[in-house]
Amino acid sequence: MRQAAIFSLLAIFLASCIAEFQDNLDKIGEPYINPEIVTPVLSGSFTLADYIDATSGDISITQDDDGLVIIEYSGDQIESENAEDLIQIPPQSFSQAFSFSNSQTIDLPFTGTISRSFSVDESITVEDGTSDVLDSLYLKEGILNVEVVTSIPADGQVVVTINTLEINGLPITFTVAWTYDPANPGAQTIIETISLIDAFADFTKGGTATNNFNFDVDLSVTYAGQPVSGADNVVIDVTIDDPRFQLVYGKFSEREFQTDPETVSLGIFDEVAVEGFYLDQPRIEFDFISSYGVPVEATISQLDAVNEMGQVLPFTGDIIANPTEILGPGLNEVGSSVLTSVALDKSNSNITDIISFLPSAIDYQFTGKVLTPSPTLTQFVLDTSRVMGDYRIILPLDGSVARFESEQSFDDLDIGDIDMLGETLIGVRSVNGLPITVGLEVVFFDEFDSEIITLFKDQNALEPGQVDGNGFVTNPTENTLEVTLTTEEIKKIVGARRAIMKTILNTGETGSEIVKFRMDDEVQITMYVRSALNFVE
Amino acid sequence: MRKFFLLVGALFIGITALAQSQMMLYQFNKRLPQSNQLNPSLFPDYKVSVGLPVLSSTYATFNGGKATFNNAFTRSDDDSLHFDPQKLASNLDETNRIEVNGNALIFYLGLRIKKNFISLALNERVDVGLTYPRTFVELIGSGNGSADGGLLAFDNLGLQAQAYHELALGYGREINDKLSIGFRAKMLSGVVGASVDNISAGLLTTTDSLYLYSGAFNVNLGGYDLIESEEDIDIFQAATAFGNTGFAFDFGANYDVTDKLNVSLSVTDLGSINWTDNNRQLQFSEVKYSFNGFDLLDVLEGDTDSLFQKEADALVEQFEPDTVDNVEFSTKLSTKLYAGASYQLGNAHTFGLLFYGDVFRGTFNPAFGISYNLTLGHIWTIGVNASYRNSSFKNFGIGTALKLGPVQLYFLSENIMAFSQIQDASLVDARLGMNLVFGKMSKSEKVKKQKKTKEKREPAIDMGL
Repeated sequence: MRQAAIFSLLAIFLASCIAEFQDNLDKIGEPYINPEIVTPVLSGSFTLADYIDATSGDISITQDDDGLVIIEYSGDQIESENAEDLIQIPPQSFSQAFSFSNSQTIDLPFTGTISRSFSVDESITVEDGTSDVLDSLYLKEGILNVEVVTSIPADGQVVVTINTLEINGLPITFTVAWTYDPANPGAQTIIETISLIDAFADFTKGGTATNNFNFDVDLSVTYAGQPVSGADNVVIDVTIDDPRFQLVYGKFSEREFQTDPETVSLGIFDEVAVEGFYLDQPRIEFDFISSYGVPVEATISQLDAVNEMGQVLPFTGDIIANPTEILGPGLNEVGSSVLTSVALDKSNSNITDIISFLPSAIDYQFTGKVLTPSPTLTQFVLDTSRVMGDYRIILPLDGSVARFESEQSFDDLDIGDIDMLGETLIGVRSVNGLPITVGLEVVFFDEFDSEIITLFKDQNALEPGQVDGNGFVTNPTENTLEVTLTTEEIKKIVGARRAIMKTILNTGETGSEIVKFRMDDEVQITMYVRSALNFVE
Repeated sequence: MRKFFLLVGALFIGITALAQSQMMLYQFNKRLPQSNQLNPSLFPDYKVSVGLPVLSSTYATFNGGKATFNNAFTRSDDDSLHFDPQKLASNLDETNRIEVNGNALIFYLGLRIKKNFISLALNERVDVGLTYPRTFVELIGSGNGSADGGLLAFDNLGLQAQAYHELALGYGREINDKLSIGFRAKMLSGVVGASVDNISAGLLTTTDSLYLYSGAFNVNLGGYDLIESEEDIDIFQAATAFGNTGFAFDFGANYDVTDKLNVSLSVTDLGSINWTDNNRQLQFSEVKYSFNGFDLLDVLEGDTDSLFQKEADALVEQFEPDTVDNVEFSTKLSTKLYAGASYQLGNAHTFGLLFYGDVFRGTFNPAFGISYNLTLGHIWTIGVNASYRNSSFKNFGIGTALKLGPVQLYFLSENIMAFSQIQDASLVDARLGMNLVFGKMSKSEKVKKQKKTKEKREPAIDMGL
């Protein structure tokens, strides 16, 4: 009995203990896991070239002999028309009648055969409105048609030799023969067609004439029982259809052409605000390449800077007002091109004002003119001859910047579930080899677009490197920036719907110093956070 | 994989155990046949002892070391409880271990033949041991902030788990009236096992970088078919197949210093299992991973999502193991040492001292206890003990054995406080079972033995009790 009582008491005791433990298990809530996390977030070193390369598209970065960083923009190449569209060789047409003298026709029944030779000189037709003087040309297309119409009542033949046109080095020649048919005594027509592909035309008649088209005709007939008179003749029509040249020599009249308007975008000034921006050596270089064997004159018909607000500031200066002569290859340089470079800088334009205007784009257009420098000087034009223009906007980073602010907006912000973040320290450690002060502000806005909180306000993330008298950095500067966000501030940030990250740049410390950026000037940055995580409220 | 989790779960739950110290059982001495399993020189007081499957002995223990409920949970003002790894870490040792052990005695037969004692036992055993450094919990609870500029070392992270059959044949003999010795040979057969080398790892934190390193280590899995196979396999057949053999030995000695004072010593589980069947080795290479933050220029170029993914992939890739099948390995049993002394006051009262130690993966875990047993008329024995273990004196065990005819019922626990103050308990265990015992050694045999002892001892030692 006593044993049973002991066991009963023990069982009750154990049951109550287990019940208490069960009660405790029921009270278990969320764990207290509040670790403090330290971790780097971002790191890296970069030069200004790396930065621009990563954030801007159509920019190339170069350097000069001193290592000065040069930002270079280039746009689409401009091109004139091809010469064959600018200079036309019109179709040609010549017609002549050939007959015997009366004395020859009287003798025909006795001699049986009579002959007569002719040499014909014609003037070629040039393009309407021009006074082109063509010396010679090589054809890549064209058809020579020769139509012989004979009304002579005798058997006969005619040999036509086109001295102006050569194929394979020989004048074009051919013979046309006919037989008189008393049953059909009317005129007979014979047509010869010859392709002029790769034919050569000499319009100088061996250097003795200009725009000349010369051909010889040797006519002979054999008596066929009918009387022949001096009025009987052979009419020969010579035409050249669809002539297209490969190369033409001569003296050409003036012709004008115009390039399409072009625009180059300068992304570096997008979405920025600045109190002062000055570059000391900006320039625009134009490279014209001409394969015309004729001088060409180029005029900048439009060169305007347009800023982000749509305001326009035209370029001014001598180089805008005066045309530029673009040289072409000489007579012995057929097929080659000649480069003519033109630079637009602060000595001949208002380009420094243009850059300070922070253009987002530059609009430009050229007109060109094929010149006639001398009426006696022979020139040439290939069918493919044209003028091409390349341009580069070159911005050596030598100057000053005052409060150069750029913004990046993050709309429809959804920071996500970071409620567990407690007090958080954000640190930026930098070694700045650039001659600029970099300020960073991050502004958060609520759903009504009201500012909630601004981080890093009036604090510099990077202090400028020390510069020498030339404006080059000699010693980088180390800097640590730490900001602690309270839990309340983090909650505000979590509720933000929009954020703007502002970057504020000043050369030197105030923005008034003129400094130079070297290609190997480098910034090393490590960003880290130290945050207490609260997994339980 | 379902089977894998089931088996891992079974390993941890462990229905019975023998590897954990069983001071209460040891101090029950000859009154309980199961004591012979802790010291083969402790012969039961019965000529025949029989253990029936499962009924005979069921034992389970969980030893969390200092990872107790109260050490791991904080009570808030509203009486709710919260897991608090910072609090837990502050209570842990440099290196800690969690053990789960189980033992089911399938069959036992002990025969006392004159001066000899022969025993045969078949056990199913499960041993799971996990070692982990305090820094691991510190990292979860406190993060790496406190280690800024320093190293969080995660050395001594390891695991050994094994389920195996144990067929034991024991022999003991009374060398003379004072000294008995015993020996047991055990053939082992592994069913499923896992062994993870002690992993050496660490995290070096600075605001410039996080540097994570981990030495190369292997995870050995034995009986892998049982874990991995998607097909239905006969688990009973797999569990009773005798492969992955091993051997272990127990030794013990018992000496009656006087007719009241007795000392004993035993070493058990000296042995290992060689895993040769259905093995798989996961080979993890050395990892040296450093994170210096995302590259600034990559971030400026946008698409930070892919940066996160790339970094995560890079880290995960470093921990991708190579898998090699059929690599043999061995797991050692946790060897245990018992050294005890008992003093008998009259026929009813026994006082005892016991020192215990075990070796697990090279670390020695000691415990020390005192006990008192009350025996009432050879029928009912009640025992209590107090022990120092897991750096705590708050371990109070109780045990009772009741003999009703040939049926002996018993219940033992090393830490009864675990049931009343389970929040503070690092050790939770219980053993209960039923033996059939026959042929109690007669009083005349004991008196004869005691008389012989007295005759040989001149002068007799009087303890004054």
